Amino acid sequence: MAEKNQEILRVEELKKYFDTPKGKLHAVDDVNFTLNRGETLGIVGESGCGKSTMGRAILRLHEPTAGKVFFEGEDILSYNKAKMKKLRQEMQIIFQDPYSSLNPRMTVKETILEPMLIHGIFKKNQTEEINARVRQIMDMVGLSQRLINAYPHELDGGRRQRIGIARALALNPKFIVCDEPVSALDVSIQAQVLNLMQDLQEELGLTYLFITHDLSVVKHFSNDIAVMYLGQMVEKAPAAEIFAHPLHPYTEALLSAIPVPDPDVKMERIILQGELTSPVNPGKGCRFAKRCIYATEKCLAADVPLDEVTPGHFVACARLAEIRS
Amino acid sequence: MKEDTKKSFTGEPDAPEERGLWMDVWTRLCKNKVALVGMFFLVLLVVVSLSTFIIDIVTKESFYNNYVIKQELTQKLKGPGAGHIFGQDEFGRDVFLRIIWGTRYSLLLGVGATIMAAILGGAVGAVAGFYGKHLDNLLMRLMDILLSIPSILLSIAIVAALGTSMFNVMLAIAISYIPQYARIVRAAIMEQKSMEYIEASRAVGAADPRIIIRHIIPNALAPIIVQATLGIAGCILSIAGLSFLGLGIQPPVPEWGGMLSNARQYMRDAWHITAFPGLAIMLTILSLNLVGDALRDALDPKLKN
Repeated sequence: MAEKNQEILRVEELKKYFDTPKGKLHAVDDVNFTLNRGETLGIVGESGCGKSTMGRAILRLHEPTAGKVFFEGEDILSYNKAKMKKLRQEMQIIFQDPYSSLNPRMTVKETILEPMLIHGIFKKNQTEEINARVRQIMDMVGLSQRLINAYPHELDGGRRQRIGIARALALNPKFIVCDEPVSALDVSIQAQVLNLMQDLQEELGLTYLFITHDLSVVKHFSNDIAVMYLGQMVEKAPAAEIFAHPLHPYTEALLSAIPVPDPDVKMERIILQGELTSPVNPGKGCRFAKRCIYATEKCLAADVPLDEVTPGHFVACARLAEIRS
Repeated sequence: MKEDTKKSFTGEPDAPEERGLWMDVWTRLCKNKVALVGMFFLVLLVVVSLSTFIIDIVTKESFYNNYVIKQELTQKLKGPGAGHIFGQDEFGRDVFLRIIWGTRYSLLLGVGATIMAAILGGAVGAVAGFYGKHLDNLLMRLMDILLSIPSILLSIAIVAALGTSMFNVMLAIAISYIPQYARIVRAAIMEQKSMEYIEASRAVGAADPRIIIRHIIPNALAPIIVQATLGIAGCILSIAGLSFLGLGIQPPVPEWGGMLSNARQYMRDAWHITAFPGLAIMLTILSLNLVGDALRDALDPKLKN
């Protein structure tokens, strides 16, 4: 197995704009980060902040507007179709909705098998090898063998999500984008699926880009956490650090919204006021300024870069020094 | 790396048999008794119409000329009885034999027009749904224009312009049914296109043809098949309607709608010459509707048990 702490993915100035009748929608705007082998980067943010779009842009399911994505040191955005297809064995995705992410007319076996047939790992007539491999993958993700010929609608959400994970694992990928893999499941199943994903990460040395809006999920799961707001990364730090010392006002508000399972604790929520900046043709400056209690004119004067405040802790806030002193 | 490759699989209950998609549909269809009756009747119609073709070929149409369109003016409007179980029509022709010989027109033209409409409409809808944007707008507005003309008027206009031949009747009916199929196919394809499993297969590297054949078509096919089954019934009615108006199949060819039309004037004197062709149309359409309905249920994998 390749050693840890080695860079596997580097994203530079990634941009994805969508054309809308009103103008360009900045779904992902100038995102930079690196991700090490075997680690997990949690991406959090509210709905519509571009988390999922970013995940898909990295896999080129949405073609990025600009920027560079390096996978194992190679710029994959310059890849042609054939090279890209080959690369798809290395990077996979797990989807949010276990209902629409599985073809209702394909059995568990067919779904897991499809990626392997596409990449010519098996031929259709190698029945025995195929069955053995499918059973092995099902075993890995904790799916009972008797479900091999079941259709997705016969299974519950947790099992369906396991099929989705199995499909992603079928090609032995190194890197998986997990696009809110547990937010459609109920809490007890969430824990099972998360544990499974953690076990698989250790066993197979997987690297995750874990997208979610649920902070408590990402807290125990990630090495680093990045907070996104309207297409931009506003803070990135190791998981423990970000929970202990949130520096960006938005992160602070986000963390204060985590419910505490204790009726005696009086929660001090930071309620965000003000209007959401439109992601269509946003102006200069900090995008959070309209809702930020600390905002001054200085915040809108120029774009705010993501600066390293303490080692490994990056924040994009123009008034950081003044707020935290 | 992983070392769990040699886990044993014993102790598990046996996995259910592997089943094909269409086998499943068939099994579910057979569980529906009413649909079976409908299917039986349709098969009977097909067999009957095929045997009339064979009889025509073997007897070089002498049977057709001597019995089916043979006039017996002394016996006109005679009620059902021995020798002529459905009675005789206004020219003394045997109603039963005419209905038997009429099956081919209803079935052939109905199925033919439906297939034509489904292919043309399906192609328009598929292109519109897959490529979207301006092309979609253009094609669907054209379909809207077609849809805004009452279908029977449109058929009448086409037949009147092209002349009354069997092919023209079929074409006229098919054109007026095109927008329905275009809309259904477009909606089905657009629905499937937005599903996450399409994206999932893109993510594992599937090419467009594979996505269309393996994912979009099987999931989009069900509504089209159902619409087509029900559409045949509509086409048969339209053909009967055109014949009734004198624009469809021309006498003395025994087409059901034409028979009804001719018999209309004698309705008060002889019930049997309107009742039997009407009954034939009704039963055929009822069977088609029953089968279409059952197919819709059978094609939905969520309803299986």
